[in-house]
Amino acid sequence: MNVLAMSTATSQLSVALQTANRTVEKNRTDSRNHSIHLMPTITHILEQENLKLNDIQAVVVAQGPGSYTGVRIGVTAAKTMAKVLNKKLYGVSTLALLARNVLDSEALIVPVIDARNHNFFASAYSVDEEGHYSEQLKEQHIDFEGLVNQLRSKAVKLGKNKLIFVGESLKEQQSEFSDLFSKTEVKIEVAKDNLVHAELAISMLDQLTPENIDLFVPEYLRKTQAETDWAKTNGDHDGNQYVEEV
Amino acid sequence: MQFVTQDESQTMAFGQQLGQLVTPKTLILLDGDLGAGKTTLTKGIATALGVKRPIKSPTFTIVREYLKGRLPLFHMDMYRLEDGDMSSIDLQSYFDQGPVIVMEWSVNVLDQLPEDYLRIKIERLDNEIDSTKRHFILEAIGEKNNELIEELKKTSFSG
Amino acid sequence: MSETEQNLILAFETSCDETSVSVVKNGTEILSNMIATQVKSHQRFGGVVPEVASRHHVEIITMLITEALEKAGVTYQDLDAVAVTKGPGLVGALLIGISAAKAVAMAYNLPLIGTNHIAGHIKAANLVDKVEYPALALVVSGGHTELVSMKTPSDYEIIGDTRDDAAGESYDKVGRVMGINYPAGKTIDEMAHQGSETFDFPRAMMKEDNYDFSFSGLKSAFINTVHHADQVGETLDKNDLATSFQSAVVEVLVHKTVKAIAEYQPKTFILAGGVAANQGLRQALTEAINQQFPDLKVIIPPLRLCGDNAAMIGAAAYQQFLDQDFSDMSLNAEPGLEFPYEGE
Repeated sequence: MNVLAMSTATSQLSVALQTANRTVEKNRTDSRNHSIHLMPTITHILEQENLKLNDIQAVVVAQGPGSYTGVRIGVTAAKTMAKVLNKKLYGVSTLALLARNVLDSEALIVPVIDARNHNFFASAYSVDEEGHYSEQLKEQHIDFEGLVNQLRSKAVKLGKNKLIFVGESLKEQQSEFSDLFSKTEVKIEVAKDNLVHAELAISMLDQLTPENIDLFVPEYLRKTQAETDWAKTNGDHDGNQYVEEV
Repeated sequence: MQFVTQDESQTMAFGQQLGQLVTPKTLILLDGDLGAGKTTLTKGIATALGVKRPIKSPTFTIVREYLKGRLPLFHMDMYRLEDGDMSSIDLQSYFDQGPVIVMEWSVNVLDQLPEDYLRIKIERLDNEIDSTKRHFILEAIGEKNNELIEELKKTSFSG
Repeated sequence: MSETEQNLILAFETSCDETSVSVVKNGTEILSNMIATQVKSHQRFGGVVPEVASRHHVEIITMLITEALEKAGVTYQDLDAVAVTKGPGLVGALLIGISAAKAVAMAYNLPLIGTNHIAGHIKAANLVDKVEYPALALVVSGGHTELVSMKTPSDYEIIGDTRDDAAGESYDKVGRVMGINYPAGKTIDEMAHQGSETFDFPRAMMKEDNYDFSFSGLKSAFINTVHHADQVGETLDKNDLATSFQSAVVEVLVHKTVKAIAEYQPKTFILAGGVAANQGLRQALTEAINQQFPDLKVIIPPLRLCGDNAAMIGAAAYQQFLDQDFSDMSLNAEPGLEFPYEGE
């Protein structure tokens, strides 16, 4: 099966293509120009493998969390391709992808994406010796302290004495994390590879179910501030139809 | 630093003075009510930078770009932006171009800005309909901006 | 292209708070023009919130594509090009249309056309009647107030522009002062037809020897009048305020437009943009032009084509198709895109 996978959710642009023969991946670190480079990268990788877009059977995309605009570029491209060519569409979590950079059954794996102002999109995974990953912390938008507290109790509960953080720009935070765990037995490490890889999305395909393309939207993990503020005074009206055809 | 301008032409003149002193990546945060003179001040800065196009309201488009002066000038209105939403205007890419940025309603995004800016607050002095007097309050964050204020103090707008 | 051949463009428009997908034939005939508006959503916040707008665009974009083709009765194989608004507009919103348009273009190996949103507003006229050149357009919307001269169908030059606020923006701002829900334009227009002009608001730049506009002074005068009344406990008639405000806006727009027509001698005049839906403006401009230039062809698109829609993008893109003005797959949003000024 030919499968195209892409991630534009973080500063890394990653595109992968699985063909009958092999899987190839192209990466580019350039957070602000995903809209410029996504399609040319896809064209390039298809040409290299002598395929046309119509020759693929499925599209996989990092659905978020991540940069709102970045995620939308990939999600819109992927869902439109799948829709107009009548292909299957799969969404994967950006955090689940990051977690798969680490294969260490001793550790609690903590994928994090900086959400600014000392907030993170984060979750936690364990992996067994056969390479099966289990989500141990629900994906969430959370502040630094809250994340540390949750990780502490989760590590104790699972009997893990090692946390491996994985995500971009962790170098700056590593010492901060270490300080917070300094009085505990827990050891803190940062993954060797901290980038999101589209190739790993293809490897997850057998665990995924196809999406309803029209209803497929990014996983932001966060309401907009405007909507949150509005809901405070007006109540939650999530079911309301705010977009209408005229 | 603070001072009072008597009319629009003085606000404009102060803008021009400021526009001569700004350097690449000077970030000016502009606070004031509707009609306080934020646009007039920005026009002054733009004139000093050699911008020939009119300075138009950035409210609708969020950012107006003026690229043909001594330095690029980006005039931004963050009224409709919000915390976490910076990716949708990609502020960093504007900073990377080494421009002068004049930002209105920065309070909405303050925690995402570098701690390196000149904050200018413009207040009306009275409630008379035709009052043109304005009270300016300047606050510098960061060394470069402190120096900028020292330079401004040497001008006629010393308070 | 032979005369019998038909050219079909699939067009996208997502520059602000309307998502629209359309199929346009030969730049003049609308086969479908699907429009989804988010106005109810942004009404909650008193104006367009960019992040919310972008989220809504993603929610509905593929449904509109399917509907646009079904309604037009065509398949992807029938298409000749894909067009999309590249700017001006909100960058996050523009990127949804651009990403979707590229995906369709790549999927069916079609040329991609990046179109200027303002050119789209002007070219909406082609969907109504044949435009003869040279032409002159007054573009009035939430973000723009421009007089645009076109010597040919491919040339756009700004001969007059607002020096500060756009006309549509001033409607929203005075609307806020009067406690009118966003978007205020339509309500103020209706109120203006019920009041009388009792306030003497300024008409800026009427005597100046150019085609530029200014609405900031009018906005300030309006706000000052209302605030002053509040302070002295006086209640002002809102309809009268609306009439007086709209008269000032319309008078300046008409005056400068008439002056520009006299100098540029266009064969066609086009009123374009969201504020072109304003009844007061439509009436006053039509009357003034009929009186002074009875032979001039005037095109004022119907309301549905004045607001943001993709059919207008398809109409503008058709000229680019003829000019072979194509984009490649690296097309990016240009949120600050502007026409050149005359002589620039």
